Amino acid sequence: MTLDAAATRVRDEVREHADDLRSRALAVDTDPERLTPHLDAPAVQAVHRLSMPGPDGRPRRCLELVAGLLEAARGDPGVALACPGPSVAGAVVELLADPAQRDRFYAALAGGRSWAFCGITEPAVGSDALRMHTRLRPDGTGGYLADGAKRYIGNAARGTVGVVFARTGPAPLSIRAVLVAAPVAGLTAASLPTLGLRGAGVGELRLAEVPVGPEAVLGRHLPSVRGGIWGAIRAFDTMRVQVGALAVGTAQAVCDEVRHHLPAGRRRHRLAATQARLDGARQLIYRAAAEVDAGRGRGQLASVAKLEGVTLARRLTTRLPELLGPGALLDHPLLEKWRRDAQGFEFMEGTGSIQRLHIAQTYLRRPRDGAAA
Amino acid sequence: MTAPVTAALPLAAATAAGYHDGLAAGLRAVFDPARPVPCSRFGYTLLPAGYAARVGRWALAGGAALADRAHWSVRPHSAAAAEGLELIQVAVTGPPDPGPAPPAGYALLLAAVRVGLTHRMLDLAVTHLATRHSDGNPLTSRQLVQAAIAGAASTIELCRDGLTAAADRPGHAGWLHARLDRADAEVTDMFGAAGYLTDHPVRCLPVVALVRNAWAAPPAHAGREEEGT
Repeated sequence: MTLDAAATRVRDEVREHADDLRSRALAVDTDPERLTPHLDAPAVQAVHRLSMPGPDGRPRRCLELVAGLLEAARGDPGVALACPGPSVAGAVVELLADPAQRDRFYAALAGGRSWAFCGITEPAVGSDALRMHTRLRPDGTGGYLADGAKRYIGNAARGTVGVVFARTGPAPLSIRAVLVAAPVAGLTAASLPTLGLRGAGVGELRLAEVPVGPEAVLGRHLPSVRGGIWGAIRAFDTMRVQVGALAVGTAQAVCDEVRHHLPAGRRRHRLAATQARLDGARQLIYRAAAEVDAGRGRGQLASVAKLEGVTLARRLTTRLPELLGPGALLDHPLLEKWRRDAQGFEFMEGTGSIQRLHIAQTYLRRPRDGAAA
Repeated sequence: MTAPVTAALPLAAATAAGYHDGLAAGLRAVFDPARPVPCSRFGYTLLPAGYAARVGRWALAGGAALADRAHWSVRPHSAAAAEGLELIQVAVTGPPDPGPAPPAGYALLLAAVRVGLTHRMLDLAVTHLATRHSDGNPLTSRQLVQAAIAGAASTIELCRDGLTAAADRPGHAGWLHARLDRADAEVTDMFGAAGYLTDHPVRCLPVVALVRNAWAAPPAHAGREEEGT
């Protein structure tokens, strides 16, 4: 499919900054907590702008986001994820926040020097949100106190605002999303040492009687069935396409780098076949994003985009460097880094197994008269 | 009758060391000072900590170099260090080695270490999966999970016999590494996000991938991402 004018503008703007993002890749990978020297760079600010609402105040469409993210990851996925912005929490806020909550959330992120976290995954139950343990109990004054733990959360230790999912009771509809500003009494955070994607700032959150005012509960203005876990599920659709875009961008980066170092004529015909495969994956990402924007489907194509994008990235980051001969991963630190990074996409917004189950379940439910083919 | 050059390779010992004691122990078990240590085009390689001084000959892009005609230094590499390895950079300081380089054989020896290491990680993964539940049942009861376990277990058994079959043809170890690459990815995924942390035992598998990249020349079909092996 062809990108429309707005998405093309976003893609072209971020593409201009890809080389600068790449120039920061190894520094961020080595010291992901030292981001201050990068924050004022035009490239980092461009990715920040991409993640925020557009000039008219409306949220970015998924198609615009993935068009830009793919180019940012082509620069470097770790730096792309290190750029300040709303991250996953933005997708939840767009679905569940009322206008005042949305304003408060984005105000905390304006200026491009702060990050947001989104606490869904837990140590005991992983990303099985329906079984989460973190709970909200009434504080007696109309608000809540939040207790629990979240793990593998992007921007956990550096986020100044975020969304945390927790339950007020045992039923699925009792799961709510709340806005949390940091620092706040009872909330502690720590970084986790990840193999790759270190710019993502993955860490854990611990909540011990964190005060949550009634104004911080998202989805209060929505019907109860759409106020909590529904938001997480819909946010996953958007985020899965974005992770797919990051993965395809990373695969493209590897292809670019190998082409750059490969002597002319030597096995270059193999790169042509690889590029055709990358172009196909890019089209799939765009189509999945357009489907999310149109509100079509049950997230099946989003799962396909994530599964295929990540599979391609893992395959290419493993195999393409071999074209450069033995030890290429030691000779070219970026190739070694992207191999580690690509592995991390597997665990973002549901593993490959989760995507396969979702794809199968939605496929089995659809009409079998061939009309959908 | 001349014995095959690899007949005495300590394949079983390497597999056992990889399983029981880990990557560095496995590499120590296969180390032979007379065997040239493979290096990258720019002279990088990985060795067990402290073993660079014991190398008799380096296999560099321009040919083999005797140890006394090369200078080596240890470069920082936190992931390698966590596994008891060192990143070594070698630079030639004298004329090239006039004699023919003996066959390296390290590709096959490394495959033997990897069989043990992958087997150990699969055992750890199965223990981990049995403690995780979905809908009240352990993840090991899930067909998708069982299929992944079966795939990795089959690869381990196939490669165990493949080592023996390739012992007389050490230049044909590439397919073993390709299969083990795929099994390692499957096993790593079994740990979920926990396996993506640098303090998790499965961190050895990304490091062994680096050793494989330097020590075991890629197969002839390298780079063909559509290749299914």
